[in-house]
Amino acid sequence: MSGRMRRLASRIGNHLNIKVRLTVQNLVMVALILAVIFLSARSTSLNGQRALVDNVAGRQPELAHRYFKEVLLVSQGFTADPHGTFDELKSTASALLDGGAVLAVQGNDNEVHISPLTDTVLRAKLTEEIRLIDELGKAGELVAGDQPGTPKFKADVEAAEALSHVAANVAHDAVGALTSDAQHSVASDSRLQIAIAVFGIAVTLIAGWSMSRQIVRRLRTFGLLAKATAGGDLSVRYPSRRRDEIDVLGGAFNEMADGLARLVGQLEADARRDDFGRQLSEAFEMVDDESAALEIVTRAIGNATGAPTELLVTNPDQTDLHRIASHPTAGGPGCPVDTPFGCVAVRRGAPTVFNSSESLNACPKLAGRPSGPCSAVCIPVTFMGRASGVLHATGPVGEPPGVDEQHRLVTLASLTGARLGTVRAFSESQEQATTDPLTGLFNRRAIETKLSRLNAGKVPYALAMADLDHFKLLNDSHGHDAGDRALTYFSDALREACRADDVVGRWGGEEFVAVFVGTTLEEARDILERLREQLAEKLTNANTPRFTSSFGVAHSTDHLGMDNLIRAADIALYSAKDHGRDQVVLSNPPKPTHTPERRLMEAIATEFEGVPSVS
Amino acid sequence: MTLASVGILSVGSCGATSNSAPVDQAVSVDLKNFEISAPAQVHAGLVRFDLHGLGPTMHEFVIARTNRKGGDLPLAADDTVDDHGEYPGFTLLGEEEAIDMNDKASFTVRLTPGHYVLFCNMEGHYLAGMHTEVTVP
Repeated sequence: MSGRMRRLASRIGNHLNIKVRLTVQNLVMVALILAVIFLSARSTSLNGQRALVDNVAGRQPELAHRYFKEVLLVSQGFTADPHGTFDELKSTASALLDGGAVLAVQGNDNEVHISPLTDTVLRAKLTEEIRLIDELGKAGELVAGDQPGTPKFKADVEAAEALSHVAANVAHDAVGALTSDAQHSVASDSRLQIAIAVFGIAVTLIAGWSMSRQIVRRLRTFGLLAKATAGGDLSVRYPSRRRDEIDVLGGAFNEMADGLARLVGQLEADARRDDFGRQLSEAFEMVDDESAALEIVTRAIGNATGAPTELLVTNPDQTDLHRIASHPTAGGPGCPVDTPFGCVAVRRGAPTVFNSSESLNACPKLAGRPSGPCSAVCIPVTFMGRASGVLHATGPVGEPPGVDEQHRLVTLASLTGARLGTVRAFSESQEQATTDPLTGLFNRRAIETKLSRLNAGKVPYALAMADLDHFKLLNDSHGHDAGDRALTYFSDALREACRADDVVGRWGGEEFVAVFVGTTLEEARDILERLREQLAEKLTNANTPRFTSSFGVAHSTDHLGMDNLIRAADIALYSAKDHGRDQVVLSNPPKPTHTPERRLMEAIATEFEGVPSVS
Repeated sequence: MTLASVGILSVGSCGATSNSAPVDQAVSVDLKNFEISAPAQVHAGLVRFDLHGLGPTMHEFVIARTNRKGGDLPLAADDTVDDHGEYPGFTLLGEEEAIDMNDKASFTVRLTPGHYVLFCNMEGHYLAGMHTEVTVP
């Protein structure tokens, strides 16, 4: 079969579904069965017809002999009807040759209709028979006209007898040929019936085998695909080439696999997002201050998206938004929004996607960006329901960050809001626990904690105890408000005088402590002298009565242990009070009584400074 | 007479042989209603008669060695040649039956010098003149 025919056959085959093929196969079988039935019926009819014809034709030899005998009988004076016999003989032969109706059985009115012969051999035999019948008739006429007993009569009788024999033989031969022909037709029909039946069986078997093989092979393919899918391979698909029922099933399988792949993809994306959230949450748990948390936010932005992204959050005790973290590609400040409720997404309380800054319904703050038109995703940042900022990511027009990126950014915004809120609340709480509410300086507990750390680190420092002179009189004379202002002024002056590493706090009432880290007694005294001068100058224009302060300073290297140091500074302060106030007195180093036993005791006292004693 | 005919039969050494044996002569014979066409003389030896049925009726080919004329062969009661009887000077050598119209057949026989008659012994055919004489010199 040429390639073109093969392609045509293949294309036709691809459009024949199983139902059509089975129907065609069944129709072919029905047609073949009908053909067999038709041939069988025709054979039966032909057999019947031929039986009648054979019966008719079979009478011919006997009629030829009878004619001769009847001629003799008539010639001998007996009653006979040779003419009738001759007519029957002749008419039957003519009907056998050219068709016609003859009596099926002698003496019976039933006629049999004979079809004209078409076979040339059969026609030649019947034609010869008719010729001999005519010769026989002539011979019979001669005999009938002869005088019986004469030599001519004898010769004519011999001739007529010979003709009757040969006519009978020829008729017999014609009958045999007719019978043989009929038998051949019947045999031919039988062979045809058998051939049709065999062909039909072969076609059915082949078609059935082919179809079942196809179906089994394709079902086997289905089995392998289902097994692969069950094993986790969601990329397999049924190769549809036809449009039959199995391909419909294949299409359904492919749709199912597509759905599963999408679902698994979604689950994997959710898992990745959950993993991102988990990692971010674990990272946040390991930090307890805002700066460390913002470092994590910066790294997390890089993991969440590749788009320019910035985190805008209000500072503590402020309402303005500031960029506190951004993606490396963010460049300069992006969104000009200055307050949380100036952001559309914050007002809506939900992440908002803008496909284009040029759209009518785009956020106005996207317009006029130096980088040109863009798309954006804006996600509000909240803590305990209170808006604290927005996470803002941009992209090309019509291409905002994708769904997965948006999910990660939402997770980032949520966890960042929670963590920043927590850290700030903790910081505020801690500040409240260590800070004097009036002056903002460290309180006594905080000072003691810091002194313990300095001692543990063996950091030398000078400790000054300060006290406002005649504070009670000032309080009583000018009121508590004036007293508070005085304390505030002094604490401000003390704070300004100290360096960043120094520790300044309110010891209690009108007593203050200043710890000058890494300084000598003399250096601490110089600082305090300048403080006195600056305070006096500041108080000239202040809204508070003038006051002075006294200071006692001791050094950590001179007095081991915090209690000893503070006591020494206190003693020096009292000395300053005794000697007229408004001065700085340095503590004298204790007399050397450092026996080995005393040094051991003082070392133990330093080591266990602050540890509750066991009673 | 019977012994003589047997002797002739034995001396003659004639008889049908296999058609596959190499023959000395092939003779064409036409059989039609009601005559047999064959050469009047045939060489002695193994002769193959190639028979052609020209019809329209079925014929047969019979060969007899005889000293009788073609039309004087002994007849049976049904006016066919009596090929079962024993007649002096008449020996049936063989026959080929059922040669229908358009059929071809062959009959091979070893002939010795003598006189033979070829005829068709279907009912009425011999009496209708379907016979011919062949001489083997």
